[in-house]
Amino acid sequence: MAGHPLHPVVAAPPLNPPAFGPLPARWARGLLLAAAVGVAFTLLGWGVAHTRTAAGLLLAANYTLGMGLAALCFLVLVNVTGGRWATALRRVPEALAGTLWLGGVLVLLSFTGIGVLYEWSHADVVAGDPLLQAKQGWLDVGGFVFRGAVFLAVWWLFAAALRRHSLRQDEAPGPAPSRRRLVLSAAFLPVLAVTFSLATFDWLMSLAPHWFSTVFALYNFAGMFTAGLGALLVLTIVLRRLGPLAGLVRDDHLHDLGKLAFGFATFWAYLWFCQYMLIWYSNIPEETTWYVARGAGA
Amino acid sequence: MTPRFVIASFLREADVLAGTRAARAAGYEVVDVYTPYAVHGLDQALGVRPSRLGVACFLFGLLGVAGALWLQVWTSAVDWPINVGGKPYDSLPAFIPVTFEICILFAGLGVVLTLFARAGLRPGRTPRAWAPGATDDRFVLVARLTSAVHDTARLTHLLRGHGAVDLAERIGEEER
Repeated sequence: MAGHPLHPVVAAPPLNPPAFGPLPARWARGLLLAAAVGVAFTLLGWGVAHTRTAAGLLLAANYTLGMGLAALCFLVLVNVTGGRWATALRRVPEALAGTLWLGGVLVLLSFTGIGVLYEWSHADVVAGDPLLQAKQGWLDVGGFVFRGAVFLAVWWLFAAALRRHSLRQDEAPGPAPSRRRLVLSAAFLPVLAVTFSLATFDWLMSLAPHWFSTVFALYNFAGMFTAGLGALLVLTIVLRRLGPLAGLVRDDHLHDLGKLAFGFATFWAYLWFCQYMLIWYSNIPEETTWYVARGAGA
Repeated sequence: MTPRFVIASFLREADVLAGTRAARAAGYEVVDVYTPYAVHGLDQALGVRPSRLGVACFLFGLLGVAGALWLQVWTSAVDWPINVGGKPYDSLPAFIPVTFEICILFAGLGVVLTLFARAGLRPGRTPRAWAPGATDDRFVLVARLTSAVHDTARLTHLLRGHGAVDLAERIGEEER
């Protein structure tokens, strides 16, 4: 409309969210106590029921790592899609991705159970098994540990870089750090796809080295991302109630996160069924064993 | 009595939000606000109730699931049983993909058609704008005055105070 002056663009005032105080001492004590009990029982179990403890440690390590990795995926996806909606709660996935080192340490600890968890780690078993001989080039202990260490290092380095560029924006507001995060994220996506698939093959699928499924890595990703979104939602709601995110995170943000969680939970179920139905339909023993074992109970 | 409408055009998003809140706080009924793009916070300012379209979506999805399952079980196990790879005639896993897709199709199409029906969107409908610019660069607030105690002049003054630039009054039936 001619004649109406455009209203001036007003620079947004700097955001001063309430400072994140340290965790209330009562909470910190309770959480540390829970961690100490967990460590004590793990050590006890290591002596009493070695195989069970190794399996439990592997499961716990993958879930813990998955939380951090899912939060990292969330940040990457938000950066790549240019999603500004998540800016208000960005610190939460960043903090969650900051737990990647803990998951990494747990995964490395779970490697101490290689001997009892993975049958391909025994030369005599492999010698009498043509299929395991064929897979020997990939499934060997040295390569397994080396690959695991490389994957964990790559994920941790990327999470740290993303965090650095995000914090830099607080110091010097401007579009440059966002641009850097976009480039980093776009470059990281294919790396993540490959490394995560290979890590799934190594850590989880090779528990059943005779089994075949081409969708398992994607299925594992869907499960991890669903769990990570759940953790993200719980943390965001708690921080909103306690105060630090009150007023910054609106109902709309929670609805958006909830839709993502719902969508990925559906995707997870979809992939589970894709895998199940194809195996059920073709009814080939080398694939069906996986379901027969799980249908019979522990 | 015949409803009277006050139509106020605003130039800025923040003004129309403030004007909507003020008019509703003063007891006037704001019928709707027409904006060139989706304005954040307008639903809350208007006091719009959560949409019930989700219920329609769920029911259409349920209809799709029931219909797809019935069709597949009836055709493959009842009317013309076919032995496929030695599987039982009524093998549920084999029916799930079609059931899932039909569920999505019914829910998706059904909810859009419900929206069209509820909003009165149909072919051949003549669009009538409350004020020029409502789809261009103006934010247009429409308030309805239903009782004699509502004073047009007071509302006009109130909205002008919040930055309304063009104000018009219309008497008659509500236009959809």
